[in-house]
Amino acid sequence: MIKELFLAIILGALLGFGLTGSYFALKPQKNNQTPSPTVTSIPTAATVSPVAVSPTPTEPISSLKLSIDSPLNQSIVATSKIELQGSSGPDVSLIVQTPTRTYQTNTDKNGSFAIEIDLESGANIIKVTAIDSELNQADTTLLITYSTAKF
Amino acid sequence: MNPLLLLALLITPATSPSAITPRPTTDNLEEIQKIRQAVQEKVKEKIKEITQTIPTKRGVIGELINLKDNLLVLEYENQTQEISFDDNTVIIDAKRNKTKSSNIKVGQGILALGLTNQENNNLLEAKRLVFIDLSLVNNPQQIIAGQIIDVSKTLPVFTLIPNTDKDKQLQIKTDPKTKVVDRKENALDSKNLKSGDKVIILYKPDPKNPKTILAIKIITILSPAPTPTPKPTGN
Repeated sequence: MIKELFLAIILGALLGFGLTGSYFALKPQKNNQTPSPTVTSIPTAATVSPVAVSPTPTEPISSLKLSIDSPLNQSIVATSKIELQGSSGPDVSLIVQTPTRTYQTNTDKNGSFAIEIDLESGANIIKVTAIDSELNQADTTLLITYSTAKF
Repeated sequence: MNPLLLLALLITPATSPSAITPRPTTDNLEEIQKIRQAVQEKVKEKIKEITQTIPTKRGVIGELINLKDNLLVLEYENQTQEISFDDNTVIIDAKRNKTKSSNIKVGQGILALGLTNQENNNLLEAKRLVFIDLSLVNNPQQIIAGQIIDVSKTLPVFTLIPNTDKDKQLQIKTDPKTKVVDRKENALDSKNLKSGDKVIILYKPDPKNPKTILAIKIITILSPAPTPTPKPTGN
């Protein structure tokens, strides 16, 4: 009986040591694992806290972009008619102003536009204004010189 | 059961070898990043070198603010540009006649046509200098976009809140010459303009009457949808 009791105590102690050893052996392995990417919770409408309404801005918050791909600013061209190509937002109204004329066009679904314009002899400041249905506005100007002089 | 065997079984899970996957160390990542940066810088340098060595034709305008020897400084919209010229540079006056470099005066509007300098990108080597009137290179018409908030029933006037300043209200006048069009340039009647319309106004500022905006052209970009009229049901 005593022999069996001793055996039970020894077995219990061994089991305890075994479990403790296993725990400490596994713990550092967990620390060495590559950290998993942090998941950022996206606030839903219900979780967004109310914010103070700021006064009406005096300047429009314009997210509209406008770029002219061709011709380049400060280009010299040898023809009075050129095609102005560029991009802005999709379905945006565009006003193109040369020194003597004003043109109206719209961008396509992809935001691209191309318009043929007439130039005056010499320097031409071309002003392009893009305005979307939310009244966001973007402007850009470029200088195009129409000259047939060779150099 | 043999206690030794039991002991062996208990210890086994704690000492089992685990597979180690090789991972890039932070030192390796830094090294890769350094190589990437070096390559990017080299590419940028090469592009700059190529673009600088090919002189390109350029035309610049501005008011002459400085003239020293054969070097001009032109200013336009707060940006300056250096122009060099020599005896071969053709100089044209406002009447389109050839003139001498001695006629170049500070304050003149100048169009310089030439080639970019290979070493100094802000220097243009002028082949042609033309005296110009800077006020003629710009379209005098101005643009305002905004929303109509009120249309007069008696006068050809409407009130507009411009998109540039929503605290402001502008009185826009129209006359029989004012063109009213939609986005596809289809002509519209100015009587169709109504409160809530989003429009683009083209006008020419009148220095004698700066508060009055007489529209040359009105482009309607968005009209509020008409309120549906309730239809009588069959019941």
